[in-house]
Amino acid sequence: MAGLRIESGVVRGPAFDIILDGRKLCAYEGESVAAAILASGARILRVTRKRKEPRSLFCGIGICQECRMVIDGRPNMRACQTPARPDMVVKTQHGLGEDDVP
Amino acid sequence: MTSPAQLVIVGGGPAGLAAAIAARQAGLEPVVLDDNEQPGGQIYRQPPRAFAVTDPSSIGKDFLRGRKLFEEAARAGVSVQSGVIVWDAKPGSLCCCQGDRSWTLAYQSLILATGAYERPVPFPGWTLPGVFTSGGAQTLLKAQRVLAGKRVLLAGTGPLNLVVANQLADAGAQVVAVLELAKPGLGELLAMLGGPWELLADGIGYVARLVRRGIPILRGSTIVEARGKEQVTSAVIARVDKDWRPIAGSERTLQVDTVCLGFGLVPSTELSRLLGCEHRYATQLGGAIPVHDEYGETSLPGVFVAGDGAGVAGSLVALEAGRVAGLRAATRLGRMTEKEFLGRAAPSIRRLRGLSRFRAVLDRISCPRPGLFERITPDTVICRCEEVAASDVRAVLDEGATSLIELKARLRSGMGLCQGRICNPTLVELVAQWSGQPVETVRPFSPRPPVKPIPMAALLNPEQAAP
Repeated sequence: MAGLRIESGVVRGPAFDIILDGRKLCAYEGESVAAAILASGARILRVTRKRKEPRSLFCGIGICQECRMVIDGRPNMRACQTPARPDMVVKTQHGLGEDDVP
Repeated sequence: MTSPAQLVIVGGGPAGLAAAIAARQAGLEPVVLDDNEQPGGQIYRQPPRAFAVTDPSSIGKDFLRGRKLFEEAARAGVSVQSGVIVWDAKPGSLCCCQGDRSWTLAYQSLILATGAYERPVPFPGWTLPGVFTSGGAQTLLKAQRVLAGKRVLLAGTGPLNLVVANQLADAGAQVVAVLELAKPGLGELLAMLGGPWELLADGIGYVARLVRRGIPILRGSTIVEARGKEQVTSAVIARVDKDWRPIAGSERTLQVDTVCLGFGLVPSTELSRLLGCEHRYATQLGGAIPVHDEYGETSLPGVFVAGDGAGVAGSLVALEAGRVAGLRAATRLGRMTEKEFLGRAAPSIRRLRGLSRFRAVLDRISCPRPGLFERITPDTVICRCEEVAASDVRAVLDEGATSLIELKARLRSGMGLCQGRICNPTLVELVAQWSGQPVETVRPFSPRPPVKPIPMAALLNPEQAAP
């Protein structure tokens, strides 16, 4: 599902790459991590601890905590509330992100 | 600690900003705290500062209404501290956090304008990627200019879905249908005609544009299941009876890649409850709401509530109620006499009375009915954080539990990172229905500080004064 960025109405900030699970992904200044990922057509942001089920953005306003990812080594960061930054390292979170904590 | 602020306002949405403007005009210097990058709340949410807005009208009417309010606030000399999370509230002081810093802020008077969030309504498949709240899809669209998906179904009740359906279609999504649980009767439709022209014109416009586009609005229908493996690929919909119970045999399947759920809003009352303000349960206003007088003052003198956090009623009410609360707080602080207050607040109070009549009709139409919770199957996840299924809840209730606190102790529901915001509204209803109690007597989860996740670093080094 590409082409989800709407080109009318706004001019985005400068483009840059973030690293999502080891792969480069385009983001724009001002975009949230979740928006950059969803705009690429990908949806799974984390996998739950017990049922190992995929989850994605749900409420979009920082309430539900469903979009939490491991961002620059910090687990449980809400992707919908975290602005993307150049070279940010983002990982799909598994469980509570225990495996990604040094 | 430095001397207390005369007035602190939590929330920079319509209610908080209107309160701040009124307080400024009364000679106060309110401290306005907002947890987003920019004020506006959800309804007036702006694209990020790094985006240049080239065509404001394409972003929507509320964007423009928000801009107008920001200009008014700037003229009044209101300044908003953005990115500040208020994570605890006590009589006389608040705990605040910004990034890795935290501090205590003392206040004489407080206005809580904390808003609301979308009512979570579980059914099989509602946790699949591609199932969003309608407000979430709208935020993605209006603030980030990203479409939630391409083939979209909207389900729920109330006007928000009509707005979002149009916005998604404007932006190029294919909207398959809008499912509205309610089937308002002629009497209710006629009663709505007495409402404020601005809202009526908006509502009629949204419906007309959907009709013109050939997007069906299926009244008396809802989603009963979202299907897919890694993400949603289809949705099962059904007709419902007058109590919103799905009618067996009426199911059909729609191929969609996105589902938006808009079942009304739930007020954010964590801070008013931590403070110990008295609350009451009002299903039609979204659940437990702080008891308050006509001017927004709660059971704690000097603590006010305004906007959707005081009981869901929409942005027009929030603007007027915020203004009244701001003036009232100024009166309590000795900035005007009772007589001056009544004079200055009169136009807002008059408008609030008019709006409340219209709102009562909308509330009656969209007030949750018992069938809303009957699509829940044993395997349906109720608490998303701790992955508690309906069958887990049922088992604990079958053993004799009658309260949410017992569910929390046994199942951890409500102990996850969302702190019960997602499961609480459903569990209150399920405990009431399944253990045979009136919903008003079921005690919701108690909020605990920090009411929003904050970094541990912020707690380790509290600062003595506000930055």
